[in-house]
Amino acid sequence: MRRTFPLLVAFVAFATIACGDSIDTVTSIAVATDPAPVPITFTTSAIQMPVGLAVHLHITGTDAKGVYGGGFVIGGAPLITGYPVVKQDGNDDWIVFALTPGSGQATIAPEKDGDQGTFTIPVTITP
Amino acid sequence: MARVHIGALLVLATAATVALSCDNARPKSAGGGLGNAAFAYMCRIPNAGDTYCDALSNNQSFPSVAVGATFGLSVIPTHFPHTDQSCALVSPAKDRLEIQPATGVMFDCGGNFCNWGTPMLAVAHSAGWAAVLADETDGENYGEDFLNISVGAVAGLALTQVTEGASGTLTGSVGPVGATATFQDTQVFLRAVPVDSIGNQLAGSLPTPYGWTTSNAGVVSLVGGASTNIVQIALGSPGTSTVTVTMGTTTTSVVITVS
Repeated sequence: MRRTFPLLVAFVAFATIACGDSIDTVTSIAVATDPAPVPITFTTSAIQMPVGLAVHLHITGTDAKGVYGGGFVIGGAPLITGYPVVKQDGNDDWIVFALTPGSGQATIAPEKDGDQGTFTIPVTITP
Repeated sequence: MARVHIGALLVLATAATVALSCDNARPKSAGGGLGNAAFAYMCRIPNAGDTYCDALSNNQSFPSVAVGATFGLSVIPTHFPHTDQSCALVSPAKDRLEIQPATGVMFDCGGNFCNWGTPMLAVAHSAGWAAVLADETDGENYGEDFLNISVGAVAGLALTQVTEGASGTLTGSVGPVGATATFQDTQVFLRAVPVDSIGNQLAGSLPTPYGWTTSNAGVVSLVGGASTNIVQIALGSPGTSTVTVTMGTTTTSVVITVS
């Protein structure tokens, strides 16, 4: 028993670190392409852009520790797909392509230092 | 001296001037949306019906391209510290713009473009935006940069008039219709280019040949180049003649009056 207790404490500590906190919200999604060649909408509540177009996005989120950006993953196939931008300071910049016309959901999954969250945003890709 | 009244014709005085010093090897490029790379438009050689690269063009920007057209595409990182990286071109929307190996296809790389990455053959399939990605080829699948390319359906042909030689004068302005040009012992060329629904020139090699006709060869005759988008005309007796150019299902005409 005296040998088992330290192992249990270590396991609990490891599990806490691995699971981390939840990320509360994505606070902003800014289209960094300047200027966008056609009108588009890309916010935390709606995504709308024409098929075939690509935009550069900068994303920030918040959790209990404050605002940060980094480690995001964007999903939304078959409507959109994303490529992380080459940067030195994290993956908060993405190139997002509109692949197929239609409506659905895009997902943004922040993950940094063990903190995680998944958010869905309605997306409309116009012909 | 022949005085030529040309109706429904855009007389590009500036184009005529520039044509005298045409440098078709100048880069036709655009910076990517991130400023990390530059994308080069390359003409096929021998010229396979790409009016953006014909003998009288002087285009330097990355163009809109025509549905059904092919062209060369290359990319190079331009932003430190990634300038030592090589990039692969990726087209996520392949049904709109497809990137293929350029096996057996030659391009006019134009000066510094000869040192860029391997040119690829781009095939435009449908109208709309067609973004391409410069993907770093170091195995980490990061996007270096991207470019939005406009693909347009050919809606018609636009005529531009250009001249070569030092003895002519050309007056006119860029406008919707009507112009007067005065020539004196000057070679006169008519040039047709494919345009979209709002009149913007569309680039890319198109397989369909051009055809030129004149309704009155005694007034205006066709000297040469009748199967390409540029034809040389000779001015004859006073009168009027309608010169018509066709490419596939598109056609346009201009009435030329020699007085």
